[in-house]
Amino acid sequence: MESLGWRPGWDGHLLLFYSEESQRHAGVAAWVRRGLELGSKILYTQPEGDPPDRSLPGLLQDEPDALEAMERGQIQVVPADPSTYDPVFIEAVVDGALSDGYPSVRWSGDASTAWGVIPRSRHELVEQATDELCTSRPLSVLCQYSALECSDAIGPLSQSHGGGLREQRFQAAPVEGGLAVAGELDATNQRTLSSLLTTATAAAERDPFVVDLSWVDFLDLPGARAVLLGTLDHRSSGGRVRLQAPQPHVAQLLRLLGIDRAEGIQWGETR
Amino acid sequence: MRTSHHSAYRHGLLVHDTDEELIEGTRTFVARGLASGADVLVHGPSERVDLMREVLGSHPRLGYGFDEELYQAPMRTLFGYQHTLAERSEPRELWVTGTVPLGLDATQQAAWHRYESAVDEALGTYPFAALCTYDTRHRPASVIAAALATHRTVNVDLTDRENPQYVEPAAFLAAPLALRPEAPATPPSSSTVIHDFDHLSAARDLVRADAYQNSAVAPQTIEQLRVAVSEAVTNGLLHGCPPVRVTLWTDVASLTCLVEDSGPGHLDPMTGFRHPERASSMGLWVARQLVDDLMIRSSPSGGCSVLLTVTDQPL
Repeated sequence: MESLGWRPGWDGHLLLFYSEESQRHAGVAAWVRRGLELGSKILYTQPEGDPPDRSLPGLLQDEPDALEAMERGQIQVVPADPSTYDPVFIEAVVDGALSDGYPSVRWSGDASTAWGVIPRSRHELVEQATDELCTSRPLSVLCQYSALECSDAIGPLSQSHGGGLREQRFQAAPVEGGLAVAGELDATNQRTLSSLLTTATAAAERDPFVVDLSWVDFLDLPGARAVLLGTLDHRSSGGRVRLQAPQPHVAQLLRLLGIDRAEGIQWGETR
Repeated sequence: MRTSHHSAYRHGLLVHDTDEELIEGTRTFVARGLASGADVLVHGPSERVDLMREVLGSHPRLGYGFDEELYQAPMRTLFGYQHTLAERSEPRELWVTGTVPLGLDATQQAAWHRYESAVDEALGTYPFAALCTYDTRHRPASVIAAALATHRTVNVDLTDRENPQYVEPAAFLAAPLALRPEAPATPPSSSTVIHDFDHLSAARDLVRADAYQNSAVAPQTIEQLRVAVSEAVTNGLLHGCPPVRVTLWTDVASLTCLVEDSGPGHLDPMTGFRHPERASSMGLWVARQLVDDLMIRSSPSGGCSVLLTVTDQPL
């Protein structure tokens, strides 16, 4: 049985979920590097008067190519104000960059920047509009959310980010009929994964719900428990979950723990 | 026998020096097993199994198994039996008789001795009865001595009797016959210290970076060790005390990892053999199944140490 074709990366409408400033730093830098590889126009919304270490130049201080791109205008800072979050404005800026000859556009900012100038409820609508824009344009938007402020809302938040959620060591993204997971699943992201699965299975329109494990390269007991717990509601109400294409060592652990025989679990072949 | 063992559990020994004794002992064991309603398995090298099949014939509840398949590596065999017993839908007893293979060298042989000693702990809670047969014509005296130290009963004149030479598993591990694996005396290739769960990944990152670069051990084996080391560190942080030191030795075809916590050092050396009934004891049970050997002991520094070994040549 094959994986579902999704592969981890830094494109699409992504949610960067960070616990520490260093993780935010590393995530933004990797996303910018990907943009430079693609030759994209890169826009970054930040509040007026952001402290230097939190601002974009601060985040990219170890990235000489990025600093150079800032100087020539390929990377551009957009000061945050309510109009910055108007979907019509966003669309116009993106289309403007494309008509300037850039093959694609990237845009990022911290959610707290948006909450400083517009209500959270309106920001949620902006996120939904952005998700649609990312499918109709060559656009990647990286939305930065602090785990301290948002850990309880991570399930619903992930639903408005079609490119998925990125954490330091793992990524999860919606795929047709389920959720694809990549990276390392352990105690540090057990809660996040469990919430993502609970939300995704509750919204599932297909049965069985597929969890594509083909890009998971490390799974321990807490990670395996998250797979079970996150799908528990769905399975308890008669739904089925198919664990798709785990690598052999991941499959071995799932079998040792009897997860392949748990109620409602179906088994995809190993890679 | 420990009260926590199943009432039908037995791990007995038949020491013999003639084929007639072996055949008679096996025939009686099989007949009693079938009469009690049990499933019975007779195992051994293929030529021995063919001989037994001629003598014992067939029965719907009598099966034959080849050591070449069932007894490749001690821990795999032990946990294979445990999974079979834990997953049986019928409460029927399982009776098994045969000869545990002879190791190719002293190290392999000692691993089979430790297997025999751990049977009580790993399988004691199941309706499982074993009669292990040892032929003094084909087994050195040290192997017979180890067999006598690791079976609670001996079969004499077709009757099981208490074995006065039996040694409890934890004590056996400390005996010379167990040849307990030790951390290499050579300098390690890498080490790190884990202070909390947020930095747990440093342990598995160390194994990956070092093992892929400095050994030819297969990727699947390295990945298994990464999970096992991670579970041992988790155990140290949870049940011992931080910091937990992780030290790795790499060789062409083997990896050895020592995980030492800073706790009081009272972890039972047999932890992780019994099928876990509560999630809290699951980590070392999983870890034992992912490596060739996992040794628990008190660390010279005062905490508890877990020594994990994998090799691409299964023991």
